[in-house]
Amino acid sequence: MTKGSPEMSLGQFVKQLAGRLQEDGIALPFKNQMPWHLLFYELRKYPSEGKPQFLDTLVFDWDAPYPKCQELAEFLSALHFTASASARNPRFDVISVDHTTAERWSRITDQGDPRLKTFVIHAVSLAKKEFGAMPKD
Amino acid sequence: MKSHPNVSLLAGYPKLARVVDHLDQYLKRRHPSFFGESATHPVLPTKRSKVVHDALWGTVRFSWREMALIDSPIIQRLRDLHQTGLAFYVYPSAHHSRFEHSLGAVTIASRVFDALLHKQRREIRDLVRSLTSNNDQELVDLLILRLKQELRLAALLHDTGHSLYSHTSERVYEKLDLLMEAARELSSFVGKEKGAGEVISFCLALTPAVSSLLSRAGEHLIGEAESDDYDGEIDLTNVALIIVGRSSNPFLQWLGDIVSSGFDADKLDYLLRDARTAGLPLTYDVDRYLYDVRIEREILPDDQGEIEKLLARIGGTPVTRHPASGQARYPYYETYRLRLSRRAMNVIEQIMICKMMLFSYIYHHGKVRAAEGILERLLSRRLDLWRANGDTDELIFSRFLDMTDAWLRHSLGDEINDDLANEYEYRLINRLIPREVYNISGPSATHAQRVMIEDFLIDLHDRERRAGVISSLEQAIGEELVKLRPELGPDPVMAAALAGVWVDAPKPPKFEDVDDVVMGTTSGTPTGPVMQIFPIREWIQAYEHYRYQVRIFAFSEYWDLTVAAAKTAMQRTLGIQSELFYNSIRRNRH
Repeated sequence: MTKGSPEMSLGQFVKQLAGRLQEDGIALPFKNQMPWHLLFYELRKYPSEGKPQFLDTLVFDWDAPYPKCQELAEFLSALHFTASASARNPRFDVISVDHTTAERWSRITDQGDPRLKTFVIHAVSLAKKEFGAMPKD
Repeated sequence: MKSHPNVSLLAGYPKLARVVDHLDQYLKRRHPSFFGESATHPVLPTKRSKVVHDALWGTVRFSWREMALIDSPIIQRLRDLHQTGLAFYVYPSAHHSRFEHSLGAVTIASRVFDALLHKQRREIRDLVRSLTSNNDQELVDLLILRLKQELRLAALLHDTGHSLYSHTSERVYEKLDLLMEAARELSSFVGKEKGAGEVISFCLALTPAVSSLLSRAGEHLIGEAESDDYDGEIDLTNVALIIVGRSSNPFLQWLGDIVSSGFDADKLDYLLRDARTAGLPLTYDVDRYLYDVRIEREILPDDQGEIEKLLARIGGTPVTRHPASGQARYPYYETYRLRLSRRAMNVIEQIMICKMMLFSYIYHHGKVRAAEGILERLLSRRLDLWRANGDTDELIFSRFLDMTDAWLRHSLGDEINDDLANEYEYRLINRLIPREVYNISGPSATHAQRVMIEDFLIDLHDRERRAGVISSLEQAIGEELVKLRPELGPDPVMAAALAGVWVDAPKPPKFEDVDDVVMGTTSGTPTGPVMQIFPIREWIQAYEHYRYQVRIFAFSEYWDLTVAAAKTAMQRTLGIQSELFYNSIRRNRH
């Protein structure tokens, strides 16, 4: 763990990421959660002072064809069933966050540690790559 | 003195090694006639097998090794652990125990093994042969029998980590530093997230106490051996790994899957058993499951090298770790996994529905949650008092190993006298369980309140924030209770405790593993995740959206008071002011 790395919970981080990606018009995968897990696994490995502490302690299961984090899976599921994000498509392929919520979530780190803001920018750009590579049905 | 093989196996995992050592010492001290230096059990020669009649699976046979464990305190204590905790307060017949469930898990695990062998004997022989580098057919078949015995022992021991009222006490003893750190080590050791209960079951299988008992039991066998009996050596490390969903070799991963995965023997037994004993008409087609189950060659990625480290510790046949290439993004091992073919779609649906309904009917039933909630608070109170008394984690851990459900009615076995704990015990024993005051779910909110409710609910599913959100609301309710009823005392936390007030936010059922039960190819049918074939995630989401509830409980005597206190507290913490909202989420008691 990086000494003095910023503190932020997994949920807060996902919300912020979802808000920013939504504002940038990037679809958030839901039915196929593999890109989320791959993104967080890559973020965990990424050496950065701004990496929030929770990423270093995140446990990934090496049991599926890709590393899978139970904690992340639980939160993504809750994001939808608590109605915080909705799947307005018949096949639940993607989730969307309404404009007001996306704006609110994307500002979570605005007043926080500047190192974290830099890390979030990196996370958004990596997410665009991972989510953009989603297989089309 | 020769060091035990576990010393090298667990080198670098000091907490796991400490738990193994603690369990070993505990067994030797508590049950010297079974596990001590001069152990006498089994006193008489051991029968090669015994037959048991189970309400669910009928007449079933257990080997001498299994009987040695079944007849020991390790498994006998499971007779006094209710499988579904305090659910019998709502479903009077739900008195089945972890004992019969464990025997049932052995039976169904064995049937899955037999079904696989029946359909894929050649493939299984080939993969076992590759582990031995020996072409002798008899030896290969003997090794298959050995694997079956190890699988059955793992199924038998898989729930030995439970303490009183099953998962309710686990939520308390998992807070012990020793077990919390050991769970972290086990997750790293096997490359998947594991909890405190699994730590105990895993470590128990590795104790010298267990291996000595099994060795002694094999010294004097009586009765005729049958064709599928296995009397040779077994590998208790493999047994321990199967308990936590791994195995001693990636080619044997399917054995771990049979005991711990999305559609494992544990689930196959408890779904039917819990439903049947509670009197609920829920079932699935077990014969169809056995007809369609299979093993499939796949890859097991291992970028962090945890599986590589694990295999190095175990030793045995060298296994190739393939570098990342092409479609494989990370280094990987070739493996065999337990899968269901596409033809099993109906049975997968049945199992999913069974699980969802059992959560709705039993595990998340309001009164079951109320009873288990007060028990959890009682045990947490005891834990705090023991710690305040200077008791070590090891001593408290031993207490949880001693405790079975009977302790509730015969004091919790320590000298500390505490009014609040005594009050909770009295209420629990007499089923004076708290009542629901408010019931909050996603659909409770109108458009205007949506954001505030969503923020509250979503934070409850953020592991790091969850405890803080709950304790803030409980603290706020306690403060309001003190204002309304000063005789509850100046401390808001104690006031809430005396009024039996707490915020209950159960963890939703997990179905994530289902995604990995990749449909096997049958002639002409494509492979693909289950979720692409039927709307599993849609069902789960719809179920959780409408059925998942956060409840605020209080003892009956404080119900009216808590209606007012909790409303003011929620107005402060959630920010929702509307009277209509509180009227809609309040339970009607008058």
